[in-house]
Amino acid sequence: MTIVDWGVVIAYVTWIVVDGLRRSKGTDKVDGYFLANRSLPWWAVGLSVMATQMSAVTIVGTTGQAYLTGLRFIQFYFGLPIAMVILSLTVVPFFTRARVYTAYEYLERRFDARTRSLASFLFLVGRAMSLGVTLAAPAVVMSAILGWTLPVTILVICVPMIVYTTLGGVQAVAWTDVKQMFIVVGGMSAAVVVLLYGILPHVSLNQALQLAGATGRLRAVDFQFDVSQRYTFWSGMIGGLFLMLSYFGCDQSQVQRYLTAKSIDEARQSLMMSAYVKIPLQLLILGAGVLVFVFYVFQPSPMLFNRAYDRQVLAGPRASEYTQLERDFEAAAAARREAATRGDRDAFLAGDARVKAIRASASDLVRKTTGDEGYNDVNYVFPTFITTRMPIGLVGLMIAAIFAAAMSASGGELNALATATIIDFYRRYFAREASESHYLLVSKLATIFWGLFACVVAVYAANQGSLIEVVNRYGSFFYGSLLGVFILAILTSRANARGAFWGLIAGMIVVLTVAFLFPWIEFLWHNVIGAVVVVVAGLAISFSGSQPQDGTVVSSKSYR
Amino acid sequence: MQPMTRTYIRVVILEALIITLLWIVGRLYS
Repeated sequence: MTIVDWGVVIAYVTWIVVDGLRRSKGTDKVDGYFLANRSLPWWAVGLSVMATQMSAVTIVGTTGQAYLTGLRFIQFYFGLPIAMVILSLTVVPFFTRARVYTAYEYLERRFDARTRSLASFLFLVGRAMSLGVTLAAPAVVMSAILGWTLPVTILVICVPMIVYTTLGGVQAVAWTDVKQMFIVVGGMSAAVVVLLYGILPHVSLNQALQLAGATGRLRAVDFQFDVSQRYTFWSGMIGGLFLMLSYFGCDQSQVQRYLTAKSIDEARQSLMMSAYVKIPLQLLILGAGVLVFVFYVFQPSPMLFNRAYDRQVLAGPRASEYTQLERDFEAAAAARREAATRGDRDAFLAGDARVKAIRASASDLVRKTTGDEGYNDVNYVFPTFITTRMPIGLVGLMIAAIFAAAMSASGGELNALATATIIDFYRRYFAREASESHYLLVSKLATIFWGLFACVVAVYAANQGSLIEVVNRYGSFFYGSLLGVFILAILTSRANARGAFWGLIAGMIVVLTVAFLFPWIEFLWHNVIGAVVVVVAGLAISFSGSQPQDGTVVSSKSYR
Repeated sequence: MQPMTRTYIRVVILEALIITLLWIVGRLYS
């Protein structure tokens, strides 16, 4: 990275902090701090919704995944537009009219305090852990690419994010998200231009697509119905629909985004923005990953993109084996390039298979030499391309975009964690009648606490590859069940508090059991199973008992 | 028809078009 690139990164980080604070006016009360006085325009809320969902992993991990396997990950998002339409018709008017701060607050009005507390607790635990992972995953990659230590990288992401989120509240988060989305889209578009600039002197765009297509990377849609396949049309459409309904309808980090909108219609329009834009945006990112593959067919490619262990392997007992693999790799890559240039499909595919096999052998050798069983280089493909192939200035823009994505996803989550902590627990159980200034102060302290907690989890998680996996899976254990409780709350008038609470517990137990007894069922289906079990069990329990509802219960129709 | 209803219909049609396009591109370049 040159001094110009560093200048771009520093200028950007300074700008988001200063502007975030400038826009934090009106945050002297809890309503302003957590809900921006319900005053934000739909387009700002819409961009904030998308920025919160798009983490840095989306940029570094998704492009790497597309480099390896192609566009099929897009199927994960097939349920999103339909979910947005359903939520616009159901949850959005419900939460907005209920004037709640958190989604879980509504559960107490409809059922009881323990259902609300359990739902909010599940959110807090899951989101706090995943916030750490959201920070750790890009920090690991960026520390290797930039040569920083891990704690320094995490602090570079966390400190500005904690500062603007704590002082500015949800307004700072939302307006920073708006800027971050422009930087991310601008950066990705610039990357695509640079990639085409490196590809088109060798082959036409049509030939480039044929090369990518020959390796199966353009096969985006798979209609096979197989629950053991992670990404298919059906898992995306059905499992993805339930996941997105749950994420955008029951996860406070998203619900809070559209609660800041000026009106119900503006909140609906903000979700429609995601419905229209999310899949094309994701295609831009995945497409960039596929283009990186074609780019490295014609341009010299490193054997492994994650070079963290290079020195260790070359100083070890199997150094000569590694060097030989590098020589083989160069020969295989040259043969593949030649076949691609002359349009020989069979020779190209044979060369590609050879390149793939050598990369697999090299990764295996690194794993055995270093003992790092979790070693892989998927997340390093795109950052390596950025730092070694993009022109001066754009490198800085792209690095800023990755930091921006990490901060925007985390800022929204941090703000939501503080909201759930204060509204669902502190104000509910410990200080019911305190002053606005008191709530504001403890809200800021809660934001700082969760920010520091996330930093600690990030440092710990970064060294525990398996922990990242556990945390990612944790969400799928309860997301569907949470959705089930909200379905009981909003769509049925017969469910009671006992049914909702025990239904939620039953849903989670069933999903956990399914996950351990039938590990071949992919995680997207857990959301469907959880939601269905909670609704069925919740209704059965509600009908089986004759427990009267308590006085705080409000009919589901009251907010329609 | 309500403006939001039209928006919902447009969303569903756009998604169907994108999925169809992706499927065609996948078949064309496989």
